[in-house]
Amino acid sequence: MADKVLYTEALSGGYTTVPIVEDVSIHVNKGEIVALIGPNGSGKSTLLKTIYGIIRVFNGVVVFDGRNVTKTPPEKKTALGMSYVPQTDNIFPDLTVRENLEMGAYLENNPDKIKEAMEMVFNIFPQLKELQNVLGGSLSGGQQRMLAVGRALMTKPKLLLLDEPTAGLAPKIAMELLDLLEKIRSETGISILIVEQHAKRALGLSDRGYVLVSGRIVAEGTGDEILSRPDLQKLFLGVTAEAIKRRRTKVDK
Amino acid sequence: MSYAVLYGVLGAVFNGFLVGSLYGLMALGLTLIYRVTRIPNFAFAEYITYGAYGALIAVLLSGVEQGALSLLLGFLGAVGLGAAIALASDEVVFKPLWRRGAEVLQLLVASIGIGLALRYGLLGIAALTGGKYLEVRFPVRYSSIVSIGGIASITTAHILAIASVVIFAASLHLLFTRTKLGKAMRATASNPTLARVSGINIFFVRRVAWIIAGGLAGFAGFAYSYYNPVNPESGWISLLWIFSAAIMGGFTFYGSLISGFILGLAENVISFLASYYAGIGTQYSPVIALVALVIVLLFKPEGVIRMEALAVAKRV
Repeated sequence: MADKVLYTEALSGGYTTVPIVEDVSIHVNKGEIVALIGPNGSGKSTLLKTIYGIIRVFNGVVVFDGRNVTKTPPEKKTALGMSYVPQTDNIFPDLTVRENLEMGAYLENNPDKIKEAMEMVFNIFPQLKELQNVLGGSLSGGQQRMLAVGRALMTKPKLLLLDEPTAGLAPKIAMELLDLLEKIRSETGISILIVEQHAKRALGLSDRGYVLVSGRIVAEGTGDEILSRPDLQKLFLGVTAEAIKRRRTKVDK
Repeated sequence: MSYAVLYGVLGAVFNGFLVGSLYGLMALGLTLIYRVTRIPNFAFAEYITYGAYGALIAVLLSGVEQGALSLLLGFLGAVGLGAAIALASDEVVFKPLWRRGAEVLQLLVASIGIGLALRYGLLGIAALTGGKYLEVRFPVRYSSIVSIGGIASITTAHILAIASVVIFAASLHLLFTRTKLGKAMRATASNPTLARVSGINIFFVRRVAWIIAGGLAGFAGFAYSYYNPVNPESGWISLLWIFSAAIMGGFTFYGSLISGFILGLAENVISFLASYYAGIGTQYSPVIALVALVIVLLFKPEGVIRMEALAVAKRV
C-alpha cells in the first residue's frame, strides 16, 4: 500500500444524480505513468474530475498519499500535492507566461522555492523561458499546453492529473508533448495519471493502463497486454475495424 | 480662428482632462467588477453619488470645513462610503444570486434594481432633510487660480484632481503587476475556475475587487462634487459615459482608463465647438457618448483600445 500514491475504491461520481463513472478501483504507484483510455464519452475525463473533486462523489473513496481525500475540495488537494491540468481553459490567457507560472505556485510563500520550481519548468520546457513575458493567450496551441502542464508543476506535486493534453494538437506536436512526460518524470520523480484519446500513443509511453467503457473499468495491464487482447482491439479500432470487416463481407458475397 | 475660440478650446481641453480622468477611473472600477464577477453593474453609478455625499457627510460631521484636513476627510468619507455600498451590494444581492446560479442577464436586472433602490433611497433621505441636501456641493473651497503662460488658467484643484488620478492609476498598475494579490485578481478575472484550482481564494479576491471599485467610484464622486453641484441622480447621468468608456476599452483595465480620458476630452471640446459655432447647448453632449457607443458596438464590439497592462502586454 505504501508505494501507491493514489488509489480509489469502488468510486462513483457524476454531475447531477446520475453516475457517469461507477465502481472504479484504480491505483497509481509512486513514479508511475498510468494511462486512462477508452472510447469517446466513456467517462475518462469525468473520472479524473471525480478524483480531483471537481464533481460529486456518490460512493467509494479516494486515497492520496495515505490520506483519505474523498471529500477534500480541489484547492486543498493542490496544497496536498495533487495537480490537475483541465482539458480546456487550462491557462490564464490575460497573464504573461511568467505570471501564469507564479499563479501555479500561489500557495508557496518562499520566493526561493518558487524560483527553483520555475527553473525546473523552464528546464523541461525551454521554449517557455524565451516566452516568459508574452501573454498566455497569444501562445500557439502546443505552447499553451506546455504552459498548462508547467503551471501544474509549479507546486512540485507528487501526482499530476492530465486531461487529454494533446486534444486538438497536430500529431507531430502531440508526440513531442507526450515525449516530454518521460522527461518530467525523470526530472521530478512525479507520478502521472493521463487521459488520452489515442490509445496506442498513450499506452506506448505509460507503464500501465486502464480501459474505461461506459464509466466502468473493463481491463487493466501493461500496454502490450491491453493491445494484444482481440476483444479490446475491436473496441478501440472500433468503427474502422468493423467497417473494414463489413466491407470485406460485402465484397465476398 | 479668433482668440476667443482658442481660449474656449483650451479651457475645454483642461476641463476635458479633469472630467476624462474621472470617467477613466469610473470605467476602470466598472471593468474591474465586470472582469472579476461578470456583472454588468448598472448600480455602479450610485457608488459615485454616494461617494460625493460621503465626502459631504464626513466634512459636516467633523465640523472641519477649512484647509487640507477637510479635503482629506472628504476623501476618506467618499472612498469609505463608496467602497462600503459597493461591497454591501455584492454581499447582500449579487453573491447570493450568483451562488444560486444566476446568469449575466439576471445579474444585470438585479443591478438595475439595486441602482434604483440606492438612488431613490438617497433621494428620499435628502428630501426628508427639508430639501437642503437635494443638491449639494463639497463645501470646502481650497484652491487658487494658476495661469498657464497667460493664455489659460486652471485652478490648483484641477491639478490636485488630475494628480490624484495619476497616483490612483499608478498604484493600481503596481498592484496589478507587482503584487501577488493584484496578479491573483487578474488571474481570477482571466480564468476563475483555474484560479480556484491554483489555490487562490476567489471570494477574498472578489471582496477586494468590490472595495477597490467602490473606492474608485467614491473618489470620482468626491472630485466631481468639488466642481459641480451633485444631486442624487448625478451618478446615474454619468453612467452612459462610463459604460461607453468601458465598452470602447473592451473591458480591459488600461483600455477603459484611456477611453474614459478620450471621451471626457471629446465631450468638452466638441460640445464647446458645437455651442460656439452652431449654438447647440451643452445639454446635448451625451449624444457624443451615444454615438461613440453605437460606432464601437457596430464595427468593433470587442473594444477599440484593448490594453490589459502597460508593460506586460506584449502580444506576438
